[in-house]
Amino acid sequence: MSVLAPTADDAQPDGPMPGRFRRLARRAVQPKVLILGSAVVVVAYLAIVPIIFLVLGTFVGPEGVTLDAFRRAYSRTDFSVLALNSATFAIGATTVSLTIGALLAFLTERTDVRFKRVIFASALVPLVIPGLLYTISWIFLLSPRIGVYNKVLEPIVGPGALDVFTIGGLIFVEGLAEAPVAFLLMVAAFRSMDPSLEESAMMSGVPVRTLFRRITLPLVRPALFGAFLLTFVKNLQTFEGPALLGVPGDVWVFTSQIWRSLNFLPPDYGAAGALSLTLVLVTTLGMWIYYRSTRGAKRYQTISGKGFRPRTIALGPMRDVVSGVVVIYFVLTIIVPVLMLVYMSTQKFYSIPTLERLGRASLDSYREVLERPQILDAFTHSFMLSIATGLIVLGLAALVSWFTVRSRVRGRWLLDNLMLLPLSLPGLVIGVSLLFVYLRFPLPIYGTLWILLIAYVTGKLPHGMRYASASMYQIGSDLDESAQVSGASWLEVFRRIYLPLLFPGLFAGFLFIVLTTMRELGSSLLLYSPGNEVISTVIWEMYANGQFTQLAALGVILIAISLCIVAAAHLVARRYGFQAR
Amino acid sequence: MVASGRGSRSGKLACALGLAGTLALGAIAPAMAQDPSGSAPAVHSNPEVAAGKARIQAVYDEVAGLTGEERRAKLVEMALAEGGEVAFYGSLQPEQSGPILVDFENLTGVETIHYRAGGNTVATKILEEVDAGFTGADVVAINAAEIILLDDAGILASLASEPLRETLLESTRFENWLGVYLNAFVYSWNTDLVDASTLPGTHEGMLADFQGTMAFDIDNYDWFFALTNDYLIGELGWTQEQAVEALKARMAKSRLSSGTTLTLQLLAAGEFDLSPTGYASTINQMSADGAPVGWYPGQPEPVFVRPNGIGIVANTTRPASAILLLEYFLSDAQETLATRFGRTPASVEVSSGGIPEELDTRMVDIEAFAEKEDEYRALWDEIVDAAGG
Repeated sequence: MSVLAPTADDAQPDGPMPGRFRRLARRAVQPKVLILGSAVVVVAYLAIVPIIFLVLGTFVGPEGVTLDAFRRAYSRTDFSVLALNSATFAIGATTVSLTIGALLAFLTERTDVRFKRVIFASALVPLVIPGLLYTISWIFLLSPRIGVYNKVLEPIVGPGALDVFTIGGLIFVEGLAEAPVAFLLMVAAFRSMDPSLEESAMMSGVPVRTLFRRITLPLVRPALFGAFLLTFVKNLQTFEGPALLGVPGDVWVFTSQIWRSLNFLPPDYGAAGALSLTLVLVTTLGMWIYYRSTRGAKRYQTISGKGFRPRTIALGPMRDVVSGVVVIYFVLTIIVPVLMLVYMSTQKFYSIPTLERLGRASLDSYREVLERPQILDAFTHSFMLSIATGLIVLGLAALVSWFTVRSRVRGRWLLDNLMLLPLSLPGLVIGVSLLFVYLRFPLPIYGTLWILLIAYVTGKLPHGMRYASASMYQIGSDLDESAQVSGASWLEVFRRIYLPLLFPGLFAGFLFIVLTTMRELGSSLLLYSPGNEVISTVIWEMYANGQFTQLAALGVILIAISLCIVAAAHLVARRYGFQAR
Repeated sequence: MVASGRGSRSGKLACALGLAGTLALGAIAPAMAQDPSGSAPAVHSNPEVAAGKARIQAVYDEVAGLTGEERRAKLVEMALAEGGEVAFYGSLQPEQSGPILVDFENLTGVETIHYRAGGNTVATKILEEVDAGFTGADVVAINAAEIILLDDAGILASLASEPLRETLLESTRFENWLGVYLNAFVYSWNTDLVDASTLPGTHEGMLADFQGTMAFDIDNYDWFFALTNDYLIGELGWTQEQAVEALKARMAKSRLSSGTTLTLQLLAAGEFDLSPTGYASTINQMSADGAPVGWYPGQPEPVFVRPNGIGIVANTTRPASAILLLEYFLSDAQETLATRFGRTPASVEVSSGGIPEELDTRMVDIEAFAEKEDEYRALWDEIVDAAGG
């Protein structure tokens, strides 16, 4: 039943006006309407503020309404080249992320592959490495003259065989960086899958490959689409890779042009807005396609009233081979880049690793990082803000996803789209819009941690929504219908049926949001105030000051802390019966 | 009934979205009359700014004629009466600004509040704060191209009465802001890969004859402006077309990079042989740490330098504290910047750190750059398009 579905009251013929008002008033104070209504208003408000700012900043100039910002934005670059590069990059990187994320999720959740816990933790590592640092560590692995992988391959294929400063390099690095997003979404989907269909197919002698293609894949389609959409938009919006890898390779995409507009003096927010609005249009188109493709969502409802535990597929003789391939993948794409960071953190400056230089390793950078003024405060603030952002975003997303998935309100896709829009906005644009608004807001939150919290919640809502709604699609309506028939209120149904069943998805989303909030930079830099520093502003400072080895040391510390958070989250999750097997 | 039920349900969503939209508009409304497109807002008419300027001038008038310790003691007394705190917004790295501010606190007993970000972000934040009537920064120190933004917006107080302006290089004295230190743009090279004695020694030689991989930072508009406008056109008598063609020809054999930090790390690691726009102080620091990078001797002249400026934000409510901190940066801190951090101070009374005196240095004409910025950005973009052939 929908929050706003016709009730028995609605079914009655319209009575005299006072009676209708009474009914409306009575319904308005129902907990369901109050809670859902408030959640919808809050998320819509958070998403609309930067959008209005963006639209005003783009279309309103000193002389009134104008399209000048579009002229400025697109006169600096050839639109068709920009669009083609952006599409090639985003589709390519999304395909890489999705293939890796979905495969790893399938292997850890549904097969008897070895080292599951290690895979789960390692798969999340790219999430926690500051974006700048992750990209830089790949530059040192794959740049034509000094790349370590190139040096290793040189005797076989000659010098400079791999070049990270190309669109291929950009797709590869960003694809790897976003793979954890797809991994976490797909983990939740595979975990919540009803195995009965697969079992029936197996009983009928269907080969594993056909079973995967015809049954498993269609069942996780909503999550796959969600992951595609999220990583696609994220790749369109990502900035570090296009700036550090794309620009040297003359591969310009929307975000590198936005970044360039924001580097102007004064920053050209109008031109950045014009480019961002183009991204907003692409996102809206994506949402529309997403909704069309998941219209028959009931087909994917695999969590029903029947108890089940997804079956583990035995890989048989392939078990060791698959495990070996996964290990090699992790060594080359995660362990080695992290080791590069560790190496950088022990040197005075970067140079190609040799035994002699390893002998000169020192821990000075770590000492310098830990002796930095305010570092402890920055860690504490980032930690508190990340946890709070995770809880608030997922609380709101759980409620609103019920509204967008379960209710039958027409135009609900609009709300879903609205919540996805902040993803198309560069963090700096969100930062400027919030600075603009809350400096003039009656509540004195400017200059406090609250404004950072609002910025983070706004920026992370799209992710929270995808995690929550992908899980919501998998929950059958039979459970809450049975509960309601038995007299349970909506609140009880939500609390006792939906929340526990959504938990795997929400948990994955929580981990994702906590880990990525720690490194959110664009909005933090503008909105932090003296005394309210966060860790990402410290990271930026180190990069801007050329304190490269300290930055690497901080990256290593962050990875260690984040892995502790993942481990702690697992302990908590296990307590509630949810864990990486 | 079904139709009416649907209509009612979508109506409720519309209501919720409408309410959210109204709230959002309500939040933005107070600022809707202003231009959010990012162009520097004109705030000359802001009464807080005008009042602040008058307050600052009143303090200058009050301490006029006082010098040395007597002047400082008077300013300290007035600063403590203002609350004993001063807010400093700047782009100077914390390892350098931190110790300077601590020394200031120890000397004066006035506490500092420090906001640190890139100059662009600092300028944006101050513009927005002043525009909204929020008193955040008292003193600001960012690079010249950025501080001009604040000056153009009319939110810097006049420093015409500042006696220390006479101690600074003449080219760093402006009506509303003054130079603190200078950044020198230098050709920097990997000393393992480049023999400095074989370098052409002139800018035009570097463009035409350098035999190696050069990496150009994509954002060095002001360096490009100075090289072209001041030297190639102004001194060698080239036409603008000649200058652009020469740079395009060099760019076709070069690579682009983004971000000074990454460029210098890649230079030290050997990915490039030479970069034309390193900061001398950063390369000195890297070289002292043992990195194979250098920039002197062999440096083409003139060396272009760009000042980092300091000013007082006019809506300050702590004028004496602001003047006290500004004067500290222009006096005691000049020595610290030179001796402890290898920077080139703007004061002529302190010997320059980091740049040999025999080098011909030339200030980037920031005001001319601001006037011709659009033209030179377009030209630079054209040159950048030629990168890598």
